[in-house]
Amino acid sequence: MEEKQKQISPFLVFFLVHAVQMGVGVLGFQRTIMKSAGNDAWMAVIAAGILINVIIMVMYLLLNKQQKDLIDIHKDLFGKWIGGFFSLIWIIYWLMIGLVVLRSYIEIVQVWVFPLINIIMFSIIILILVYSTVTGGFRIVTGISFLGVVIPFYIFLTFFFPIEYANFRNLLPIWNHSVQELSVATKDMMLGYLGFSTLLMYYPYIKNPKKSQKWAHLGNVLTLGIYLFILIITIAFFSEKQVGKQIWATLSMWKIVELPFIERIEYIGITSWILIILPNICLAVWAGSKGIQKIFNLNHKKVILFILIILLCSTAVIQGREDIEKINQYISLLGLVLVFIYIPLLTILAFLITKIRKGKASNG
Amino acid sequence: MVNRFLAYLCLLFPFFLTGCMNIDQRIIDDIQLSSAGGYEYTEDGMIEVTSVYPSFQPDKSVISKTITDTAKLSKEVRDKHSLQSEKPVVSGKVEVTLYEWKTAEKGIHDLLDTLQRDPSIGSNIYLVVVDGSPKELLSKQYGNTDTGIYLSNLIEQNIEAGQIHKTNLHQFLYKLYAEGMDPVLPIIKHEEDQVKLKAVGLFDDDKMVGQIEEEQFFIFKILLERKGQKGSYSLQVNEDKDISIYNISSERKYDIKKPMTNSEIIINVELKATISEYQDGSLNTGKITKLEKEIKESVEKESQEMIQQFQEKGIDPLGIGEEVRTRTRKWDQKKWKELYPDLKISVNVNVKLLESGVVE
Repeated sequence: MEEKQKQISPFLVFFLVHAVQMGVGVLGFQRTIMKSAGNDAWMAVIAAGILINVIIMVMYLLLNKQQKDLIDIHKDLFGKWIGGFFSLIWIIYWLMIGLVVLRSYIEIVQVWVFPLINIIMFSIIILILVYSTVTGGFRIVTGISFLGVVIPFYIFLTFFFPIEYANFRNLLPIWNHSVQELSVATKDMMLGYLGFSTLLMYYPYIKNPKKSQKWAHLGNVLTLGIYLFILIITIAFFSEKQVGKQIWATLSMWKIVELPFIERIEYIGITSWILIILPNICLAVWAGSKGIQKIFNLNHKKVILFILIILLCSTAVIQGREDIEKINQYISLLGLVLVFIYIPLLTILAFLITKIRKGKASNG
Repeated sequence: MVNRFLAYLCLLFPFFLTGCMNIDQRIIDDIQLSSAGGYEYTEDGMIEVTSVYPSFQPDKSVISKTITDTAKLSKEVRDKHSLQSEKPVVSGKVEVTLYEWKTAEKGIHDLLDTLQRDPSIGSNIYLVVVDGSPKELLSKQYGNTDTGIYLSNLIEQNIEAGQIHKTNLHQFLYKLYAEGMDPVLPIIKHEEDQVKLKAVGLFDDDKMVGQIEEEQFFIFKILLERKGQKGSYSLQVNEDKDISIYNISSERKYDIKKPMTNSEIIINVELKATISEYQDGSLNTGKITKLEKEIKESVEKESQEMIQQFQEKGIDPLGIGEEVRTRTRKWDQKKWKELYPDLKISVNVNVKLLESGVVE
């Protein structure tokens, strides 16, 4: 457990979990899941959300028992070298999440607003912001997460505009797809919920961490609600084949909005979206840098700088739709394995090993 | 002290960096905002595109100017347009796009690609078919405004007044991609110094195959829209005695007993209206009930005829297929296409005349 001054109130976990889940995925998740589940895709959103809630529960089982972060758990269970290796996989995973979010956001700016934008300059500006946040410590990162959820919330009101053209009959007939198709969609939907595993790193920073569990669940439920809301409007607004053509269906829905003072609301939406992705990147970088710092015993600020430079170079290297899509797929696969296989296994293992150790201690 | 200085420097840094972002600035005085575009296939398979842009005169009046060019792709034409223009032509303010009659008959799917792909074009722009040459229509000056705005106002005004159904790029694409529905577009014609909304063009996929004339607009609208407002209808009751009703609010409901079979499909329409003009003396309750019945019969008859016409052509602008699709599991578009022309579709209208104006 960390010192009292560095800790945060349990209810802030709500914003941390929600902020890191909401990313660029909200702008274009519809096409992938509707490809397999069509008008029943909303069930996949709910199913994925429930599964994630189960995993959050498992994570709390592990953390409440151990009362320390993932790096220390690894070290404790597997020793310095093997434990360090597993920790590194997680760190890479978190950093990749940060990278994907940043790069996908830049892609959206490139396609929708400024086609000729200088990617490196743009990422430098965002990363300076990330640097100043992350070096401020975990409490600052939490603050950004809170603001990143509260301030841009008005954005979701604009999704009421497309309802004028919505045809809610499109949701019918319910249960028109097989369980198989729905499970494929559920798997695809998982990417939209990933990132909450940073909880494994900031758990020691929560005051009364046991009390924070319900907030973590609620944060996830809010994410579920937003996805569901946007998806139902998408299904009603577009015809099914039409969604298949939209890479960013959410942004395409904004094209219908007409306000007297602005012709294109996407521009407001996309610029506001930076507030939504900022906590995402910050938390991912914080978790990654904290991990590296703990494993190698380095200066935290230098680690952050190092990580940000790597992020900067990677954003410049990745070019075009295809690359981004590929990285997204890798991340989602890695995330699925880590979250759905690794965490439950680790929890069982931790449980067994502590039991054996206790038995040995009492016997000896 | 040094640390704080560094922090401020860090904060200032981004402001300087914004200059290096290579952002494409578009200052309104330095660009040519195209407000409408007309598309026409030439005989050798090229596209002829005409753009209209407003030119603001020193005395505050607006003159619309046009440029025309042909190329293989419509964005290629834009580059060619720039060659003829002192300022770069941009498409962010396009309000209406026009398609020539034969072009519409040939199919406009390929021409729509540029509109969908371009993030600067909204999905609430209007698409219209022109009876005649779009180039000619666009090169005329109508009133004091720019031609693009004029056309967009013309259509918008008629939609709001309930004359025609709602229509825009999004709805055209929605119907184009929907499996049980075909799109429709308004047709305009240039007559003397004016533009007239002449008919509604019926599409099979992206090809225009027929029209609905002005007299049938109302019938088409109440059958198409789930809930409609405004709109007006007139009818001859006795020899050269007419009645006209307005402020018609309509509600349409489908009654499909057994979807995807040969069984009958019933479209229930409920109309509530006010009498706006009546030529046959004073009105009383008995007369109103009689009128209601007459209107009902007339609307039913006209609707039936219209639907029959659609079935003969094998098109489904009313979206009856969509209604069936949302009522069946394992929807099969091919099977529906075979079923549709021989289906029995009947219309059941319920008319209520609520008010008769300020006189009896």
